[in-house]
Amino acid sequence: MYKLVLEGLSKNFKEKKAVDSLSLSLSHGVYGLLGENGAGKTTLMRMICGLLQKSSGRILCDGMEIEKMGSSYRRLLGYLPQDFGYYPDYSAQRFLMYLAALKALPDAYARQRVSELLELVNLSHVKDQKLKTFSGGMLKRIGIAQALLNEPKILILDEPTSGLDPKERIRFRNIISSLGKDRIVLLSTHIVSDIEYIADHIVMMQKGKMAACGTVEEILLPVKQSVWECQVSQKTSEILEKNCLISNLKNAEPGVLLRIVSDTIPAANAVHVPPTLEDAYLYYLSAEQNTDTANTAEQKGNKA
Amino acid sequence: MTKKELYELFYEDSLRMKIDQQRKEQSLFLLNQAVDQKKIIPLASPDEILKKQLRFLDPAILLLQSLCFLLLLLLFWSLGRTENKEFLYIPMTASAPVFSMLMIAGCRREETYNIAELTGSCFFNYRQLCVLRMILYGMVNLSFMTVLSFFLCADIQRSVLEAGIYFLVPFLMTGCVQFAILLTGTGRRNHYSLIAGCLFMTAGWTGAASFPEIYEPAALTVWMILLFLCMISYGIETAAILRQIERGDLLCTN
Repeated sequence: MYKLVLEGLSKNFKEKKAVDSLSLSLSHGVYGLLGENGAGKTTLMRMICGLLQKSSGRILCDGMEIEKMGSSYRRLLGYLPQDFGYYPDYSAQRFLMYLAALKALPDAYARQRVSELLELVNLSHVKDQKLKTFSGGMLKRIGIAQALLNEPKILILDEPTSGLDPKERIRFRNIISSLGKDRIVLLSTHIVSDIEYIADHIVMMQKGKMAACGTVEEILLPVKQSVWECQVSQKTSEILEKNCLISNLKNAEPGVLLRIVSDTIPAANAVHVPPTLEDAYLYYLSAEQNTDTANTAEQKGNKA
Repeated sequence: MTKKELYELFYEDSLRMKIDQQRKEQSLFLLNQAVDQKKIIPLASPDEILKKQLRFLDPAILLLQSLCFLLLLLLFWSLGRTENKEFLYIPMTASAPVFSMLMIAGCRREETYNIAELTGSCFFNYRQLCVLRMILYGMVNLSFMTVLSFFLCADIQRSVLEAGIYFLVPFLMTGCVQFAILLTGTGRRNHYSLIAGCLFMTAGWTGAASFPEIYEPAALTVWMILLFLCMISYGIETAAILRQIERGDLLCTN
């Protein structure tokens, strides 16, 4: 089993700090990387894959810096980028053989592996069809197949389920879940339900920083007493929407059924409900936003 | 004692050694078991890796390069039969930018189709792949230009070296222009800017070639200076592009 350690990792672009002093330790299992758009998930993954040079910090694989490992590190990696490109005129089989060639796999082994993977992702029946005829879901499956070609010990999947219908998403989850047994799987998404059922550990990112990290139970613990449900009138609902964090709103005659994330009771008839990962996600992100707002206000106060 | 003598001594000794077949099979079994447990992924030999890279070069680019080469040969042959050999200079210098553009297009194939990010988990990273492709396509181009130089030198009454320089200078100059375009953000995103650069250079060299005085032996010194400057510039720009690739600036634009 390999261990990946990120120490004080940062990446600065001209306009902003995409990843800010992030430290994380990954061993076998499925790690769900949650964060809104622009949180720094893709930047982090690209740095782990060595595609993007870090501004500071270290990435260690079993104690060795990945830059020094070179191709031996890349042999351990499987990567599915967010924008997965392909040659439209290549068939599925030829494209996978091409990538197997780029991964320096011997021909006989590559042929066997491509056949196995097409079977795994249920695309054997279309292996000779050109990729330009494939649907979005089928292309994502080719993407996961190419990521698994070299039996990677570290699998990095950047928003693999974006654009997929529910049936495809469930199929993906099942494949990824089975892969996490003896390898590190780092899976990024901003769709909480994608990882809620399969991730062993959750890492939440916001504005380049780690907002929370732990198992699902550990993530939910601080939020256990902070999720409420209440039925209120339309007018009250409008007031609560402005003042509280609403995780769900449902019209339920005669009023509105609200699910609220709040440390204090939001309405007299509110009752505690068990939190979900989505509630925790909102809770942690709003806590970070409040901290940032407080810091900004303090800085402005000091300047005045 | 030399290595060979040592080897021979050990070899002679090993012939006398009795190998316990049962122990041999047991060791092999344990070794295979250890390999299976560690799941060591086989790696192709260096020869096989290189052959695969050659096999997967863009066939469209190679075809276009070969087509250009054959068309030029035909053109030079037919123009060589005419009285006025000065017309040979025009296709000679105007074709070199096309070879340069094809080479760069071939090197950027993964980038064009958004596959370059996948090289994060490949044996060669994208920078290494670009360098390998530049060498492979460059060798193809140089071979073609060498053959064309040999073919032309008699007709234009110049040495092979001079004919080669008349190809190489526009080739390198176009490369410099295209690398300069790639080093800008607009150039990386917009492929048409590279085509425009090539067309501009082709038009420029076609215009220059219509003045046969520039191909006089007296002008050779200027050509040599241009060649030297182009080589320096080409080298600097190639290094800059490879540095950008290493930083991730070329791949990670979003």
